[in-house]
Amino acid sequence: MEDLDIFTKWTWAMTAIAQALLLCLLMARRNANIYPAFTAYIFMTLAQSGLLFVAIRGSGFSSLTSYRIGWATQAVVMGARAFAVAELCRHVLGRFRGVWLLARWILLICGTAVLLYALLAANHQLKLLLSTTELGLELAAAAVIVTLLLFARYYDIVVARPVRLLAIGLCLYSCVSVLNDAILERWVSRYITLWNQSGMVAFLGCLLLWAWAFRHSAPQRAAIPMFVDGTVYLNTIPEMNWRLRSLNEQLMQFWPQGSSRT
Amino acid sequence: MSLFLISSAVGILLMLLLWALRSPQNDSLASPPYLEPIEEPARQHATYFGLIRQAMSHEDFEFLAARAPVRLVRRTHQERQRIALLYIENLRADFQRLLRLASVITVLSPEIAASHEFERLRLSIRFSWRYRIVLLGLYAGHLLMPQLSGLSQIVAELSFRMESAMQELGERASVAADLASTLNRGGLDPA
Repeated sequence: MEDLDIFTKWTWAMTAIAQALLLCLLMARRNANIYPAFTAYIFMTLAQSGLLFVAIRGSGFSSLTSYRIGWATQAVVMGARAFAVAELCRHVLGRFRGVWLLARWILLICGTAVLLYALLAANHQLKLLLSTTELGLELAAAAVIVTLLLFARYYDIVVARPVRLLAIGLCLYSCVSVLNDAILERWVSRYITLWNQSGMVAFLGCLLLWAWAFRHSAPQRAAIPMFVDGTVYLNTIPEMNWRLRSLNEQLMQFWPQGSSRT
Repeated sequence: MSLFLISSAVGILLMLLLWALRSPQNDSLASPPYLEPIEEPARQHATYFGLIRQAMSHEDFEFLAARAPVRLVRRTHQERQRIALLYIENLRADFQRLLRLASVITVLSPEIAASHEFERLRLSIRFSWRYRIVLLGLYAGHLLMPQLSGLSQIVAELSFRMESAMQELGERASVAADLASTLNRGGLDPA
């Protein structure tokens, strides 16, 4: 542990406390039943901290063993994180059957497209393969969360406060991780300590935000909306769209020069 | 290059996140009460077009321009412009209310068609863009009353159609309205 600076050690300790606190809150307030994937994700991050602590204490921070354990556990944590994001999406839109059927495909396509973009845009060095993959996955997660919130806004679906804070935390942490990994790719040797520290501080901030979000119990059962008959949509919406299109065309006549621009 | 591309993507995502999290109450487009179109579907500003047209009469303005002092003519022109702007803003509010009603129907439908949804999204973006162009035109001094008439007619027709749609919804809509009013403080609350 001697090759770690004092700031990293303190941040690490505080992060572990915050992880344990959040886990206890999730259990005590019975939010773990409602957010099982998120609870599993927090549990895995805590387990990762413990494993890394043992590895670094045993063989040092810069050893191959610590490196392997670090990235192996990170892969598991990333998987759990993906499930937590999927759970978040289901919590926001899952009850609205029609919107959910449409949204999940768009979210999936959006996530895949952003992942491909990130992998194409990143530097391709073999030694940075893992961080590049992490970068892509984190950017995809952030894009999915943003798209989800845009969906909710477009359809006037109010996102409950804990879910909103959960989304903000996941998205902000993903963004910080992406920037961190992108900078690491460029200045790998000089940036490694700062990369560690900034990632830990960002995660600590998110843990505190989530602990605040889950300080109260969430309602155990959400109200299920009363769906209208499927024919109402099929009869009404095409007609509305046609009228809205006509309205658009008429509106354009106010400004004759503008018609050529659109 | 890769750092620039990645940072740009993160910047765009953060801006979109802020926009998505912005309270609907801060959005002037979303300011009218959420369930107003369900409760009062027929109350549309387009129905006031007759009065507006009378106030905007070109003949009256020409008559005034020929006889009244320049100062009075200028003031009249400014007042007419102000009224037209108010009217256009209210037409936009009608448009937004109808869009919201479409959202309510969509959210409460067990099956929706992606093509209709993308079409409506495209139309609302286009309307928003065109509205700003028209607004610029009006600020520049154009009143274009014949077009205003056509626009009002369409909003009124749309209002009539929506009234029919709401009748089709019948009791289910009232149940949905009760549900929505208990669940939301401006929208539908999933938890």
